[in-house]
Amino acid sequence: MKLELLLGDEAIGLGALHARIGGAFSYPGTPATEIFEFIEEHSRGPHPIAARWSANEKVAYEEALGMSYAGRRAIVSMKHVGLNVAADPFINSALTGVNGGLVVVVADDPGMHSSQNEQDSRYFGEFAQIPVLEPGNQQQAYDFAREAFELSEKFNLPVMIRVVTRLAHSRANVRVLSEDELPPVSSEPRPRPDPNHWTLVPSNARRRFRRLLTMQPVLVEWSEKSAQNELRLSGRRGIIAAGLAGNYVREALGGRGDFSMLHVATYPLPTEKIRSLVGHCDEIFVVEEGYPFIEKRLNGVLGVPGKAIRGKLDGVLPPDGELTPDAVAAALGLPFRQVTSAIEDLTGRPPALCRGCPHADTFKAIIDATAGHPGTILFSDIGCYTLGVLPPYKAVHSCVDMGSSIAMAHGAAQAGAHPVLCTIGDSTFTHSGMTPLIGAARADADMTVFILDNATVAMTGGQQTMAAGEQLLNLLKGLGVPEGHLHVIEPLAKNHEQNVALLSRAINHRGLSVIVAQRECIHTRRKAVTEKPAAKAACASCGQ
Amino acid sequence: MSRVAPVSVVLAGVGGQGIVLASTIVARAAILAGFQVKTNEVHGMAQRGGSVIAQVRYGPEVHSPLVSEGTACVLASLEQIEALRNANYLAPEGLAVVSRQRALPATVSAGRAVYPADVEARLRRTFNRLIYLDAEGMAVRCGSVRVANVVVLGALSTGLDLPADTWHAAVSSCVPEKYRELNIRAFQAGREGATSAASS
Repeated sequence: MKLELLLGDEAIGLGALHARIGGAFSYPGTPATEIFEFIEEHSRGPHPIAARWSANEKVAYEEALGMSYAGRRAIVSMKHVGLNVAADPFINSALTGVNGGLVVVVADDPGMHSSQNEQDSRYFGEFAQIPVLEPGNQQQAYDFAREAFELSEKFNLPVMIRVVTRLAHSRANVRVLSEDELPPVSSEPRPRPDPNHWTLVPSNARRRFRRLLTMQPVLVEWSEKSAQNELRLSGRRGIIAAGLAGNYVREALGGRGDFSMLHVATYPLPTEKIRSLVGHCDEIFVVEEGYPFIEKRLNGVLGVPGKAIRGKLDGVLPPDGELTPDAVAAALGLPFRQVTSAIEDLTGRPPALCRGCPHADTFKAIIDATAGHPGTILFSDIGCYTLGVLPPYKAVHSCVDMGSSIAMAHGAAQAGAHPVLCTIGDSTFTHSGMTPLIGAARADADMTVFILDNATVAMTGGQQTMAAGEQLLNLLKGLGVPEGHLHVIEPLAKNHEQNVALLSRAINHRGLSVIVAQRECIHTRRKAVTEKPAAKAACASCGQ
Repeated sequence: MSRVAPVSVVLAGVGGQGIVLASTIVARAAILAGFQVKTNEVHGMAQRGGSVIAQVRYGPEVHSPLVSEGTACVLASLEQIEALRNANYLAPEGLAVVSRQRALPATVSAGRAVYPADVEARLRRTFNRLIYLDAEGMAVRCGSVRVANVVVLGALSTGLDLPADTWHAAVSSCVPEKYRELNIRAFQAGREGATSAASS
């Protein structure tokens, strides 16, 4: 054993490495990115493992499933909304089952620090009817990651680990196994599975679904027996806390033992333990990050006669945003310091496009080119360029989900709107912008697509993209974008007039135009310059 | 039921100032001193020129990674209005370490808001115990403007009860070897600067 200071994300990555995975799969997304990055960084040791970013979360999940089929352990990690993208293989993999252990880690973002919603992935786990582990601290994150692979192989099901931002991006000392304590790396993959289990034609799928249903009592029994769900019966006031939220409860309790408590770490819920706690108490506080998942199940339709259930539905805890130790203390009626000195007249500091960012020059050109078109609609997408919604640009009219800009533009064009524009980054384009563009090209839709090719996944820290530069242009031609209406601009102040003129022509063309704005992100550019000392020091990024 | 409450430290600033590194060094120093530690830090969208905050809590036993309002022993900020913005975390008897740096928010550089002209007076009004230093200037004198975060770290170390040698070991373990001396110099400059500022 040794002690390491690890982020929750890193603890999961290390746990997976120590479970002797064959590969890790992911698409960048806050707060999950560092799980894959940690594994990638440690993938070239004496036992090399596969660690390449995937084009999107669905692809990542399917690659992981394929590795499992081939008899190796695989981990796939993503942010909560990434699981929406991967939902199809995710749900179906509960029917196929696994061969090598398959673990999907989903990082929820209550409070929406860097996300467009705060959906709770525990619903997805229940929807797929698979086991879910919810670590409450970094030690559990490491331990659960290792255990999850064994569970997955034991139950022949994928296993989900759910974390939230404040665990993913919080560091703590973790006791980890040292190299000589690890299990040996098996040289042979597990034997091939029965292809009938994996070929979900209706006759097989019905059989596999029945198998999944018969597994449910087995999973409840496992959850019931799991030592991770700690139950302590004491006073008549009780607390059910899930995962990270248990820390805020312990903090608020400050060592006092008069509350009964159940700390939930596994799903399906440990029903008997919940019944014991509820039977013992008159008033039960449910403290969980995300939606009132446990609280709703406790209340059901009829409520619990004679018991007061407190939580997000009852209103003692805020129904949205993330929990804080103060909010939990207030809900439990425990003392906390009330602070009144919050300084409210300070100007905010919202995130903004960096100085010298290529997107800034593209937005300036778009604003000038559409100045004579008050009816302009600009659909945008997920990435740094969403910041074009803020002043001084105020140019962006939507940001919904990865790849939505092109499809929404096509929909609006079919409604007769004009001019219809959309902006999408190179990585978001290969994530899920290519498919809607095929349809728009085929229909020669009256719209102008801007692909902001900065050659990186910038918002999440500069990961490598699938296709940029020349390769992206070839891809666009291959998707059917007419060559006469495929343009490349270099978004720089010195090219502004010329770019505006080109954009105006493209907007006035009543069919599909695609404009690729090519200029590397200033951060990856800078990194490339510092990593290659021989390179010219002149700043190519700001054009000066 | 006697229980030693964890020590909480809040570091604030703007994306790119090295707040997360500074918080990691605090965490390492606390671990070296034998404590349990939890930190939290900001990644992702908020880093794009936005406000950044990192928190460290240490003690015999630490549960919450988040600092409760009004409980931090030290608040250190590499930017003046970010210090005011996070003043709610500091305990009334806590120590504020604020660098004289100002980073103009986009709202200010676009002319839609103003940077408070009386920021120093407000800092002095807000914080009972304030170390107000020119971390950037001190960092330049140490050899690089980039170690302003470690200068501030040196100053904030005077508000915590961790032994000096754990600080040096923590700094050394968190920075690349070729920058070790530079960072130790910056740490010392901050620590000594804080001591003389406090006694003046």
